[in-house]
Amino acid sequence: MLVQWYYWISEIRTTELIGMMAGFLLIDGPRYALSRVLVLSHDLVVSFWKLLSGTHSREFIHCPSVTVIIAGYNESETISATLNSVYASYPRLDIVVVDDGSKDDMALIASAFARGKPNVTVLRRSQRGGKSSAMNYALRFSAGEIVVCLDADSSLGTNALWEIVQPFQDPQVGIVSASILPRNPWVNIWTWMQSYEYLHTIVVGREVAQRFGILSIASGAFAAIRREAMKPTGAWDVGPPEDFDLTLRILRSGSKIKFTRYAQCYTDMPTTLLGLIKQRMRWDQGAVVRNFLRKHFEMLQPWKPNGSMSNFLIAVEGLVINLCCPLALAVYCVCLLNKYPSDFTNVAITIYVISAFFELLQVITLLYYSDNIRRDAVICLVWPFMPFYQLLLLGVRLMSNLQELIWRVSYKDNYVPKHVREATWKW
Amino acid sequence: MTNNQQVLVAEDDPVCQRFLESSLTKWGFSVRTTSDGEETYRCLMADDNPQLAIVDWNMPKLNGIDVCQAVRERRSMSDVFILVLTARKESNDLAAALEAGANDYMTKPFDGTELKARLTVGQRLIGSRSTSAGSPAMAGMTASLDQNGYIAPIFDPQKLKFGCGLPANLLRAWESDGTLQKVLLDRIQVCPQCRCLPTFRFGCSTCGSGCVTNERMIHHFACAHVADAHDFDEDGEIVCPKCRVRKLVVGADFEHLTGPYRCLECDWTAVELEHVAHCLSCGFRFPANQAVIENLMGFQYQGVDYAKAINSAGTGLQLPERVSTAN
Repeated sequence: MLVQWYYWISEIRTTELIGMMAGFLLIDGPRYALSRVLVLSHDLVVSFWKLLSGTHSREFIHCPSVTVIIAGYNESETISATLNSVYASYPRLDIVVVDDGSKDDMALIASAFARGKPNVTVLRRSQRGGKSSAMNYALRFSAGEIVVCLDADSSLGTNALWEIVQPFQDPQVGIVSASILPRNPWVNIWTWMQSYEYLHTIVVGREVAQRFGILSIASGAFAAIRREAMKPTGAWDVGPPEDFDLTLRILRSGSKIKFTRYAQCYTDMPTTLLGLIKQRMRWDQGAVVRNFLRKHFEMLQPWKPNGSMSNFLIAVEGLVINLCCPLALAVYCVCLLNKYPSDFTNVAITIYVISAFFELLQVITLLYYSDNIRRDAVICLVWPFMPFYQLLLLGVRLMSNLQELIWRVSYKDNYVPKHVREATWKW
Repeated sequence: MTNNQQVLVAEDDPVCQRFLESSLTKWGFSVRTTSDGEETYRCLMADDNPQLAIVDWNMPKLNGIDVCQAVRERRSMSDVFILVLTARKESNDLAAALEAGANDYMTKPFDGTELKARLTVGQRLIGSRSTSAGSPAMAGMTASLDQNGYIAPIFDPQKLKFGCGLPANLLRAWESDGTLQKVLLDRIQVCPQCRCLPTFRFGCSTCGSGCVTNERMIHHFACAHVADAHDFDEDGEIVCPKCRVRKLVVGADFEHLTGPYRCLECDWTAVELEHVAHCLSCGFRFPANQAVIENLMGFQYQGVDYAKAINSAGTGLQLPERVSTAN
């Protein structure tokens, strides 16, 4: 097959090849690879210049008071490890754990941990009210200048809290996004590929998005928000996704967002294909359609009061990348199938080869920004399979967006308790 | 009945003294004799004093009435049975003898059978009052014994402490010689400063006050806003301060949550109240787990020789001169 492909590609004309590959940039890999190579080139030059000028050491000079809020439902198996990773990792710290109507022993385990520790508070609600209201409930019992939200099944990396509060030296920064890294990358091929994806989309991808001024997400798994920046927004709204919505509202209120890849949080990923698809369906359902086309539609109207070009660009980028590209890719595939019915296999191989090449470029950028090259290099060995993985997720994203557009499925998600989602607005 | 019960014959007339001595010996008593009041007083005040005494009214140095008065200042009616023997027959004399502290009175010449009977009564009196208020200490013990033979501690509402109504050293002495056996009745928690009883309740962990209040909060379902209930109150109407939706209905639109507790004395706030104690005597406030645990002990009567018990208790101890059961 490969031999036959080789003869086919050597006979094809260049113009025809370029026309065939026109829609190639609709796939995530090549598009991201180009932007990342651009940023990498800039950083290489800067690093070389710094090397000539002298070494730069990182110091923690900003130490505001921090409240870490951990809200969970039925997280008895993981809450203890999470608390151990947070406690005593920062001097001016208090922790608030919210048991949102759990049916297991989450509150008991947290209370046992909190015994004798005056800076750890455990709240328990008898009826589940959803993560958003649980976080808002915890705010009433906290006093830290910086509020850090952390998932109950995640654990912090070294100096994570120190790293995440440093960007708040800029008084205009209202929210800081952090790195979410895989805790179980070696379980099977699906976790391996997800690990690769996390490293590229979060560690490198958000760094690049920040440089271009289009960073729009601080993951609820680990993010820091200035308490004062939350006051105009009223803190969390009913999700999903409450983290994306809060980030957009903080941006719309005039605050800035920063990303620090050195603040790291580790979380477990779905270990099965079905689990992965369910997770991505949920993430994508409440993302661009519910936010940019409904609740935050005004971001696409920069001429309105409180509008801004940066928010406009964020909304456009989000819609184009997450809604338009998957749709266009589907159309592109149909067109290719139509145009090259007998050579579609060769066309597919061509697309794969070029995608794999751009993935390799991404691997180089990741290894530059990595703080654990040995681990990340092994993770990156899965790069030959990533074009297929990305095609799969693009298909999931397309299905999810169409479902949200037509049936508003995010409002039926059990992530939010029924009595809450029936009471909330259908944007 | 007599079992070599010791009897003192205080008689200055040698014939009468000899006659009494032989009669008493024949009846099984162990007899000691004295010839004047002073010697009689010393004998009755000694550690091994006889419990029965036949005292003549008219004696040199100190007459029988004076001896009774002097002895009764330190020995109770149940410690020594004094029978005054005299030729005086006037009712005034009888009254004077009894008022001076004599247990009984007989006139001379006396009937031997009657004397023996009265001495037997005296023995009985000493034997029964050994379990009752024969001495101030025994009086207290008797008063404290319940029908089951226990001395149970009684709560003093003035001192806010438990006590048995008897001197602690006396109880220790009786315990050591087997008269009483200590019994653990209960364990109580007392103030670490003054050992009085405190009151326990949930309150402020900073100042120990029980005057705490907690606020109600409201969770508005639609916008996930959670705030104090008074933040939602706008002229009597429930309005969400975040999304401005009005006329909220509990259950359908919102639910109540419990807010943090606030101390009305020191303004401390926290999620949970602490179990604190407040001593009712000295006013000391402390965490409940710092209360001192004391054993509440009772005493069970073991029924041994009370004369020996009292004597052993009297050795080296200062019993109260007046009959009193108070500590």
